[in-house]
Amino acid sequence: MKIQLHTKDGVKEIEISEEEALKQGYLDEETYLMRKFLQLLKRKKDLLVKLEKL
Amino acid sequence: MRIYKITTRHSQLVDVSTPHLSADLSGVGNQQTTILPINYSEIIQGTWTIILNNAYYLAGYIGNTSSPANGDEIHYKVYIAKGTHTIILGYREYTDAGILEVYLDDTLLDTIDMYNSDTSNILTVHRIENVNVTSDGLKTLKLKINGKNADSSNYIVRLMYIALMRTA
Repeated sequence: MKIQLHTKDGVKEIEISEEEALKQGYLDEETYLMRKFLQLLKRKKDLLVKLEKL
Repeated sequence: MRIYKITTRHSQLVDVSTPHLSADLSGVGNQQTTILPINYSEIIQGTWTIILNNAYYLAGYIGNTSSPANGDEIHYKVYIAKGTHTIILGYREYTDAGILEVYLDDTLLDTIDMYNSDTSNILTVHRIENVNVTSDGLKTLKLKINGKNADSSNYIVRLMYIALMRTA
């Protein structure tokens, strides 16, 4: 996920994993778990679509 | 009244309604302004980021959590009409929060200790009443961390919104 760091020198964008964002406090545990759950749900949906094609 | 309308080709005397003077318009408008904290005009000190957190009103906040330090400061330019206003800050109290000073231009309006050992409130609404603005114009609302409660472990501010409401 992308994180924007706003400072007096401008905006810097960094890309870090959800795990790292959780560790650094950019996400709380509930939001982290919700994002992970949605990612898994999407993955499951994609796999089901593939299975139906077989 | 009649004025001369001058173009590159000719001049013409035309009738116009009496224009308003700036004094006639003074204090008109600006009933309520809501500022999302990410819409700052200038950062003076600190690294400010958007934090996603379901435990907060609006599911997140802007804060100086990356590298909090005493003196972290963020500014918001806002046009305010002459009159009396209430300034409202929505934020979250926490065990690592700092003390926030609120200025309108260079006038210190209030000092808010954002520390609380009880972190169960998802939103604290702080009202600064009777802010008297003597003339219309672009003002700078300045938020600056100045110290911390003796029991607080850091200088963090977790800001969700700022609102200005005209009351008179």
